[in-house]
Amino acid sequence: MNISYILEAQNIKKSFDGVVALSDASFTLNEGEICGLVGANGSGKTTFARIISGLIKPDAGQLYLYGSEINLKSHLDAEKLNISMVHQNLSLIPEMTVWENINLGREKATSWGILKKEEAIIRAEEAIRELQVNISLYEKVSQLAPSEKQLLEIVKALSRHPKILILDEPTASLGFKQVEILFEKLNQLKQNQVSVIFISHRIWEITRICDRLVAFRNGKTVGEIDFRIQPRDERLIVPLITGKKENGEEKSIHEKRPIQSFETSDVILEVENLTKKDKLHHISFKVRKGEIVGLGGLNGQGQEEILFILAGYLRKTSGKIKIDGQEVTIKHPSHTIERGVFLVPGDRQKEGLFLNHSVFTNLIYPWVAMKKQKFILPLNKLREEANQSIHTISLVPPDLNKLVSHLSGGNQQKVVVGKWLSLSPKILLLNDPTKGVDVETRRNLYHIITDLTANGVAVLLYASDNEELIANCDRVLIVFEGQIVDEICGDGICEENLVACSLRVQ
Amino acid sequence: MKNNSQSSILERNVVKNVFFAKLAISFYAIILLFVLGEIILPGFISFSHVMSVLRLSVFLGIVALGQTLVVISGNEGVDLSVGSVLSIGVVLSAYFLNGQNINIPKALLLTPAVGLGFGLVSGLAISYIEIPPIIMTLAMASVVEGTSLIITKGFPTGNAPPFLEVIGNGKIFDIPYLILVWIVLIILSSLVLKKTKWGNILYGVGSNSLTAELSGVMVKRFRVFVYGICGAIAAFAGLFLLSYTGTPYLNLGANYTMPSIASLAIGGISLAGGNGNYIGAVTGCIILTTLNSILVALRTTEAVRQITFGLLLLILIIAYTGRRKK
Amino acid sequence: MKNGFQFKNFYQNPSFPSFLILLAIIILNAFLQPNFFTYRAFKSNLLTFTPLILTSIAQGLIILVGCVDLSLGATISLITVLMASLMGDSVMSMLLVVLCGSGLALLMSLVNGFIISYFGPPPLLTTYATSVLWFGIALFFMPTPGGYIPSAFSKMYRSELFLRFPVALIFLVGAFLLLYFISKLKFYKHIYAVGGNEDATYANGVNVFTTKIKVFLLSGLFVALAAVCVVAQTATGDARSGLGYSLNSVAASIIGGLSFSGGKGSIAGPIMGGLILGLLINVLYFANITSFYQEFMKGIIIIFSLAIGAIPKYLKTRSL
Repeated sequence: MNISYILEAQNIKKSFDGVVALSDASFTLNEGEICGLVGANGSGKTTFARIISGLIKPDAGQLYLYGSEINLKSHLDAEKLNISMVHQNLSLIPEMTVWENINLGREKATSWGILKKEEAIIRAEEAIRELQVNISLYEKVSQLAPSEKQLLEIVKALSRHPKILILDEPTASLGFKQVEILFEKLNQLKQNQVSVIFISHRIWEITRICDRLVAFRNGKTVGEIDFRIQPRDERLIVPLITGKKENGEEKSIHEKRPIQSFETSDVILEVENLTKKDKLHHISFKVRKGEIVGLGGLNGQGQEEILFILAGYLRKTSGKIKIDGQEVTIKHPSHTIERGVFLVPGDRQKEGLFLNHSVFTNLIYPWVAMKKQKFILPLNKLREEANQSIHTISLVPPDLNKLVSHLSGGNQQKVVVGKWLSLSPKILLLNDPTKGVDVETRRNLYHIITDLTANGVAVLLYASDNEELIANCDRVLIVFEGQIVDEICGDGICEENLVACSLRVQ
Repeated sequence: MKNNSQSSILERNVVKNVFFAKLAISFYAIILLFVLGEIILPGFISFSHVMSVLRLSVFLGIVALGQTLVVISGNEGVDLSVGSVLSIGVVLSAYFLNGQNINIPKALLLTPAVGLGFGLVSGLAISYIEIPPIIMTLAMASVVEGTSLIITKGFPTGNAPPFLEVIGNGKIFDIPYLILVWIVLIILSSLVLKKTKWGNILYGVGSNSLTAELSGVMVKRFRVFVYGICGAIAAFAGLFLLSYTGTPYLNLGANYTMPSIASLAIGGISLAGGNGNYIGAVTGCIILTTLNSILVALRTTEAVRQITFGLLLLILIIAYTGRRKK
Repeated sequence: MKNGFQFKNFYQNPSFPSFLILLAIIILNAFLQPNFFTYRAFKSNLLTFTPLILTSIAQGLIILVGCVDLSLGATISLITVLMASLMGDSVMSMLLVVLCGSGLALLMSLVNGFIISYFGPPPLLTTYATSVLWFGIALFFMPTPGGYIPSAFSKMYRSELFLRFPVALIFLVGAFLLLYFISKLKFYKHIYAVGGNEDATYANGVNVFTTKIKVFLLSGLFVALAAVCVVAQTATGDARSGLGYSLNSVAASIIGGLSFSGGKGSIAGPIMGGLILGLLINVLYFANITSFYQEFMKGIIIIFSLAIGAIPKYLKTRSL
């Protein structure tokens, strides 16, 4: 409780459905400073930002503003305290124009309620001038480029004249010049005693613009660097993000997959020049039988799109996909499923389960859906197979009739994986399969997967947690802005390399 | 380990208990209604009267089967054209049968085929053009009604052949044949829903269409098919209604649409889809028909009946599909 | 580019195609209906179309905010029943009864709006249920069409003011003026915001609940106006008089370029859509289509217009 800090957070804890997002987060912010917040995927940065901006409530911990404790019930509370957060496109109405969006919620009106349009336009003009955004006020937001939308969100936040501005990945879609202008503005704010929390993966930006930085790892604050004292060196930051491995706590929980060569195995999946408009550009790679190839890189660089296209859910714009040497046209998941390509989706509740049905129904569904199955289901045989599956995935409790919604997150994920097991997979596409899943289940699931690869199944794995990639992949392809920019093999797959390549640090 | 199996038995029992509880409530409601009916109209609970009330429920029950399938299929599915399709089913089967037993197979084939056609069109518009089901089927109802007018020019022709009339009005061991037909239908549909590929896919599609799609189901195509089946079943119900009335009348189905939805709501079938048992709809139909016959016995007007059903539907909709304001 | 009027925003407005369709339909009508451009034909069309246009405006507002109301027709029916039951010969009576009718309309809309906004059930099903309820109540008070509307009242509706200016047109002009005023309010922007993205609107601090309630109340006003026109034209109260207005007003809105997801299109769209629908039905009549085919054709027209409205969305998803 140091009054000199404008904002202070102490021992913040937050869990979602039993999975810990923040275990012990602390943070301090001075007036008129730009403080960076860094950390790997899943370190809790965004959760923390949402807590400070009032969007979610912490389970424990204290927040102090100018030394007095505050309790934010909603983001509107935070706004009243002049704390403003900029997210990706959370507050823009696509079909309304720029000036309408800027003024939404704080329109000036006459006593009759008539909108004071001229004033609104002037205010909008002033707002976009702050960041030298070159868009027409009368343009519909849906017509703007992603970078312009991003700038608009920032412009909106600025127009509220906040004392504390939180920027979560603000430069993700901005061009070089726009970043420059933004940084100029941030420096201006600094001079006006406004404080900024700058969350970003782009380490080179952090070292440029921030006065200080705080690092999170696994939901905890693990370190601080003050650039007024220490040099602005990226290499100082990476270790904070990745963490050391000697200490017992930090030791890698998984054994690493033994290195083996796959040169003699057949290529079972080949992707050539896969392109999807605006998302993927000329992706090419091969996967051999028994291999586990990881898709690494920061979140949202196109990894999910690759998996969805291979699964038949999204359409590609151009490029070739070959399975077992034969080129295939994929227009629907059924096309890939009949070839033995199965997708384990990332959002199990939305994409992978029928929550109000039993384990049995969920497990047999893909089997039932296959075209070649008979009309009357051989339920007894199916029950036998399902029981076997339960055993393989170590479902707890091993009850076919249990409603899936009553299972824990980890067990739900086992069902999501389990339903494909009895269908003789050839290629498994895993879209962040252990997100929000406990350690024990993770181990179980990867055991199952490695067992499958021993039988020649090929795996394409996207994981937001680098540890998973390290422990389980034979090779990792780093994806950045829709392209494969690097490939790391064997021993080279380690935290430092992964992080460095993802961040494009030399 | 012991705790686990204990809790799972408990949970399993809870789930089963909830389902049976709903069913039990429905049964109690039916009994209550019959008691009420007896109070209002002595002789209500006589075997023959109960049977005739049940027989009246058959037509609603068959229509409700199609409606059940559509509702289970999700996407806020309903079919508001079932009443009109029922009407045209009556008219068409009368025309095809023309009083001759020999035409029965022809009518059995063609009548549902027409219903299937109408249903498929609705389904196509709903799945591929993404017109909300309520609105599409409401508009379809006009089209079907209009078609009915066009082909009959206001005067439906034909009538039911002797064999069908026996089915429609006759009894065996004092149980009307129609009720037996319904029982067969109930058993068949339960089997299809639980034990066939088609039924299992249906539940998935309604429960989570994205998961179903990612599991390889062509969801849009499937839903078209479901609406088609609903139309076929509604037209099929028309055939049976004709067997009861003997001669066709226009617009016989007008009073079946809204009750078919209400019966599902009463029977505890979620209007959001993905869940539900035809038995629930059956109990709902019986409750509604009983309620209706009591209201008729009370000499209430159509107005009162509409108000009752409208209010009932409204309350059920709020209770089952409303979320409290955040 | 800082000019106030962007031509692009005009012809790219989802409601623009309906403008073209309207022109086409007018031409078609001119071909089929003799004396289409005479004053008499104009006035007769006006009298017939006004209720539909007014109802379409009501529906359009609700669709813009992201809901749908299938009970508008039944509301009109109930109000005509009320008015025909109560109206007497004196001017005072006429005024009072019209006021009562409007009050009732507002109340019914409020019920719908409140249930939908507070409990959150799907608007389509809910308003379908309330439409059955209103219909039942109307039927209760007037099982067969009847009641009493003083001939002075209906004459007033049919008459003309100076320079052959139809009174009915005053209703329309009044409605348009009201609409114009509303379009200048900040509330109007909130309608589009809520319809466009409820969560984002909430994030901006706008009260979604009160916005929705206000929209329903406003639509009730236009429905009341429509009911007055209907009752004046038919001079009876009829529980079935509103049949068809619900579906027609939805179709009119969709033809007018509005989208079921809300927040898109201009409020002029439903107005043009209502005109188009009315003229289309005219076409049916003048093309000598027998009454047997009319029900059928009306359904086909509605389905057709719903399909047309969905084309832009279909084209967009193809590129995904």
